Amino acid sequence: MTPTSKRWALVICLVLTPALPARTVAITDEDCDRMAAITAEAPNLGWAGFETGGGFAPIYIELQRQRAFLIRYPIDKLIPKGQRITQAEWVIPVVYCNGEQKLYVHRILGEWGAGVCHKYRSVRPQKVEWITPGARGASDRAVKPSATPRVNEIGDLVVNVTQDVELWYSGASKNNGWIVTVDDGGFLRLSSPVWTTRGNWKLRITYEPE
Amino acid sequence: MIITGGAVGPTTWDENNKPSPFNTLFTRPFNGLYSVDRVAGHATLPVIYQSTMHTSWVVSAEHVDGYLTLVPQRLLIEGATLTSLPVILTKRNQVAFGGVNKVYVLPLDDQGRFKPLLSQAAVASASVEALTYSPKFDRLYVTVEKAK
Repeated sequence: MTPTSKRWALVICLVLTPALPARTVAITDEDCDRMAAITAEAPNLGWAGFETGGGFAPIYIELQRQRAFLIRYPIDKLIPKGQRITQAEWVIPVVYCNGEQKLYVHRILGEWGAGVCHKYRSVRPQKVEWITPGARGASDRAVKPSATPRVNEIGDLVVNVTQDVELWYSGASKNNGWIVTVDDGGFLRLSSPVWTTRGNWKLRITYEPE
Repeated sequence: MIITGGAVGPTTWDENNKPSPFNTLFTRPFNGLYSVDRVAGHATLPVIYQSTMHTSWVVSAEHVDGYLTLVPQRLLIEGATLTSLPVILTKRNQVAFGGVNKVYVLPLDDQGRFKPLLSQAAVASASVEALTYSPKFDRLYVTVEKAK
């Protein structure tokens, strides 16, 4: 084969070889293995989403001062090895906002689990307190927020979380999920993942072979 | 701390938290209809079980000192219409539910979560409401219609 014909063979080969496609997968709150709505007003409760008068029930996830929502998506088994994350979008369903609000999304740094509440990040297998109650301490959550979207209308808020998902997928950081808050004294009402509208908290991840 | 069945999921009554003593966790999708939930606690594990009357929904939920925590496990027993509270068969690590002409039994793992390996037995009762277990004899008792 002459050099010219070799070049042509290579070109033909490249043209005929299909590009390996990117793939998008989605998981929702129905797949989540850990969730909690925490508040200073009921410091031992793990599902203090909405105040009902005499108690709490997660009809909504209401974010205001001293309240937070924690969620972890088990992405670990979702994406095969040897991939590159090209995009990750997190859909947060907003059902009420009174004027423009700023939402803070932080990665949670410490392992949390059974008994998670405003005071503790877990009670079993051992009692571990948050550094700052409500998971606001520097080693409770990443210092720098992953995203701080401004919210001024109801509907699906789409947050770019590509960097976090890359960190978790690569193993550079352990996937302990996110904490969402409105730190500036705002108020935001989000759809409850355990009431009428399950499956609205979606995480969409697009990846392609490295 | 008291945990009781509710209309949309178990409710906890925390007498030590005066500002918010009654707290509810929704354990099944709400379709606009309120139902009656029955709950029972595991004898040795920090887990409660729930059956929702006249539906196929059963739930296991972990608690810490009575505070319900994390994500409840929800199962639909296909074809079932549940009519009894959950009854834990402690020696077998199983949980039983009464239904229409049936008793359903689900095995539990070492954490008290359901294993999806349902077994069921037909019984002569249009609505199995009275169901109890004897750990001493390791037997489940169910009321049935008297044979004619």
